[in-house]
Amino acid sequence: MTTNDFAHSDALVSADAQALDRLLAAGLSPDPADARAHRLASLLSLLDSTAKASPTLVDVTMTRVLRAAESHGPRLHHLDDEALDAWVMAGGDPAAVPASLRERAHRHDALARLVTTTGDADHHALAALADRTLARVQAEIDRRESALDLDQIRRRRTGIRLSDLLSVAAVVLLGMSVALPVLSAVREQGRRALCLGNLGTTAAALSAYAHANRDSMPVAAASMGGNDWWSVGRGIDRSNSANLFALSRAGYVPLSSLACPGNPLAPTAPASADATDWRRLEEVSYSYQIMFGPTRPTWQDPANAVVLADRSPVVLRAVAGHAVNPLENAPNHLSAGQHVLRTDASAAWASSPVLKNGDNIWLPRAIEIRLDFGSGRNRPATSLRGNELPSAADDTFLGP
Amino acid sequence: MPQRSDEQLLEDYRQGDSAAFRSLIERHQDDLLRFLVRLTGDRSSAEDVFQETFLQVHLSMDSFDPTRRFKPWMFTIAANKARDLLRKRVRRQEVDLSAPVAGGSGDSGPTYVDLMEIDIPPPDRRLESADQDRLVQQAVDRMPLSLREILLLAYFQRLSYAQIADELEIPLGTVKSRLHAAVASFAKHWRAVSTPNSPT
Repeated sequence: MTTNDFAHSDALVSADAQALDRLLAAGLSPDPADARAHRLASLLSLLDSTAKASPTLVDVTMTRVLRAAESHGPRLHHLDDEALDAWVMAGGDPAAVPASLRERAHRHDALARLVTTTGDADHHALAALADRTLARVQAEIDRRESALDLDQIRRRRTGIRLSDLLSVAAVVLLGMSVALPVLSAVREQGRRALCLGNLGTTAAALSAYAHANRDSMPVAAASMGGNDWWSVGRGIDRSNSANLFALSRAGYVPLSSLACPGNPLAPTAPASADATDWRRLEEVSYSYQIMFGPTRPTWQDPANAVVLADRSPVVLRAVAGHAVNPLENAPNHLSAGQHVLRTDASAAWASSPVLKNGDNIWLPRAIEIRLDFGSGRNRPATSLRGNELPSAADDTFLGP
Repeated sequence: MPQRSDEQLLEDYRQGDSAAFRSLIERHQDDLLRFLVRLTGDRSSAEDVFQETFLQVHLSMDSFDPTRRFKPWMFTIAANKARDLLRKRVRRQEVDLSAPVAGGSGDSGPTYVDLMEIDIPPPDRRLESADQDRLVQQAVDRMPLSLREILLLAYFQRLSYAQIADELEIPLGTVKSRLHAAVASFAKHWRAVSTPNSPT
């Protein structure tokens, strides 16, 4: 296209038309000495827009494209649609589907069986396949180990013998074995100081939150309804950490202040702008009073209960299906103890999860009474199911 | 002694109990192999992917989140590996791209499939089992890969919509609409291959 194409409508003066040609020839980057081309470039830059496609726009577009693609394929009869939903919700058992849809659910079941049944399973062939698979995994392990060996041989060829390296390594290791405990103790002191600072920041945030919310403490979901509360990242009605996360989501505290330096997996920023919780249990640094029950503590409650502490080792073990020891300390600080925060905004170090009043911060009172570990007679193994609740507002019970 | 869970077996293997890995393979070999035969369309590819899957389980075991279930994780790995293989295969045989995927009806609107009008043999009326097997495979092979994957994951694992959405990390609504489309697609292709005179 040339500027002549515009001759029949509004026209540029010929100097500008020539400048436009120059500008286009220069790929819209005007020569700094060319004032006219510069002005034209500024004019054209007005056409730029700062609009950026948001991820949501991309998602919505993709969903529409997929739906359009699918709508061209065959569709189920609307009763088959309903029967399929019912069959899936019944866990694939047509007998559990309402009678009106049962016959069609049986057809879905038959269709599924058609696909999932293949020719007779040859057990010899399967055993051989298992053997070949294990051999392949072993070969991979061997390959990695021999790669390590090769690395060592390569180093040998550089003129330094392995024994030389080993003696140097021995000296270094000897030195390290003295220095490491000192260094790690220093590091741990630093981590504890940062962690205590986090609780101070969080206490200020809780105060501000309570001030704005009639003394209440953050809650993300109004009630629970029999769900567990340790399914972090699986919905705010199944995760107690989402209640604590709400404090950060509402802007009272940065997520980095809820990340204990003793938890290497703790994120310092939310995974996404609309995140409502940590993504999984291991990311959570601090355990918060279980807020799902009918009784919840208020901020600056006279009972002055503990409401936040380094994360519960009891929940970590119980989730994995292991027996728990209620007297275990949080893993954040080498299991030597934990920081605890009370409703009077005081934060302190506690070397045991059992408080002076006998309350164990990892368990609800009902279990504590059953275990009777307050007497010190026994330290029985127990476990949690993840749906227990505190018996009262002053019954400290922290998770996840 | 109670049977160890899949997750416990993987943890035991991580801790050095190598027999636990064999138990895991043996526990899932039937289901996984059948799933892979259906997904890839032939036994030897399925066996390749089967081995790749467990190799990946071994390589990734440290990243497995022990609060989640093992079986869906393993099936997801298997589906990913199978997808890689199928993509390579498509690249190799570009002619296959125009295979009779859409059934050749050529009309623009959707066709409706009524399961009550389709001959689905009940489990106790198996004809020539090898023949039927071949026909089912033909029907599955004609499905688009994305629909094939979701149909097989749903059929073999019997998961709820929420679980599928969780495992595949796609929205619940998408799972639902895709599974419905997948069942319709399979039913249509099954009708086409099992009743040779029917319109495709």
